[in-house]
Amino acid sequence: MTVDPLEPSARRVPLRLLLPVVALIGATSLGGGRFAYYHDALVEKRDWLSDQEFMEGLVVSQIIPGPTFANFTVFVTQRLGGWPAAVTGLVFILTPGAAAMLLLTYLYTLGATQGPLTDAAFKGFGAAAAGLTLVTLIRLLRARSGVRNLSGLMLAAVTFVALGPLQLSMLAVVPPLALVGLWLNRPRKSAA
Amino acid sequence: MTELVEIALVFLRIGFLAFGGGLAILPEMERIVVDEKGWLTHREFVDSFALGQMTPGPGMLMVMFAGYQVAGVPGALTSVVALFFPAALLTGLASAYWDRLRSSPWIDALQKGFAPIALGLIASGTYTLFRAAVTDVISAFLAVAAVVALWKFRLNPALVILPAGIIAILMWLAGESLS
Repeated sequence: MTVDPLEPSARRVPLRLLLPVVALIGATSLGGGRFAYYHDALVEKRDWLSDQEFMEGLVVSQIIPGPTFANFTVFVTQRLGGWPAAVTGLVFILTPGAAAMLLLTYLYTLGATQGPLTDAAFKGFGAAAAGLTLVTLIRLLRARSGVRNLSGLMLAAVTFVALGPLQLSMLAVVPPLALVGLWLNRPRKSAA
Repeated sequence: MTELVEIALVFLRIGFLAFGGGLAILPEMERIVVDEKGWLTHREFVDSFALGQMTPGPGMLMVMFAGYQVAGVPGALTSVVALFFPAALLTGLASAYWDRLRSSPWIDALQKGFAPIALGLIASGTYTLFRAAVTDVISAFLAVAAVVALWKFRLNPALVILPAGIIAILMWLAGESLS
């Protein structure tokens, strides 16, 4: 992605306006396409971010390893409201889901001994969740995300085989491949 | 306390290698949490992913399930802090210095260099989940049905996953009444 260095920085938004938006997204962002909630709230409805700034947030949240949705939250809230917004925004985006996950985990632990109906339900949940991951993958492949040339295809294929069928350790696979990917795409000096 | 330290180290390690987000952590998480540490069974691992998809916010909150099984609520909270907060700190710093970083050609290099790896990680996550979750005709049927519902009709995943559980119950009941 080419970034425009002349694009002005995101404006500052008061915390009393920004944080309720983040809190609402944290409580309602169910399912795939969670980033769309942010685009709708920050770009479409309020014009607090431009499309370019939104895309920059996506790039950074994907470059930095870890949870991309939380990373994106921190990126945009820090840009819009500084460190207090980033810290509070992260807490707001995590708390509803964490509370729900804790409750569901507790109920699961209680229900684990209750036999075949629960087993059947979770078999269904798991199968559908597997289907969701396949759809996500297909969408990425159709968008050619990360596979724009032969070297990208090879890197993706090696990563898949190493971590999927071969079940190797991520620590053994990802850092060397990341270095290879970085070297293959290193900035090159243009010819004089 | 040692359990909490162990949880923190596991999820710190997983988090620092997770290019591409949620699906990217699945193979490593299964390898460590199920095969290496025995904190979860394969079934529980799949179930925790499904639960994570049915709750708001980041799907990676699924790690709380493993943390809880090891050390209750403190374990669940430790897993979240270990997975989310270091990456959040790095992102915050990147954001704070973004005006200087954005024009660097290395940003483009990082994105293009890491994108294929993220894709490979997501593909391996899909493979991992299918291997664990699709184990018989019923689960295969439900997985295919979910793909159709999500792809063709673009339904919200929570509206697909929950009914799949209900359908699975009905199919089990039908099987029991026939046998």
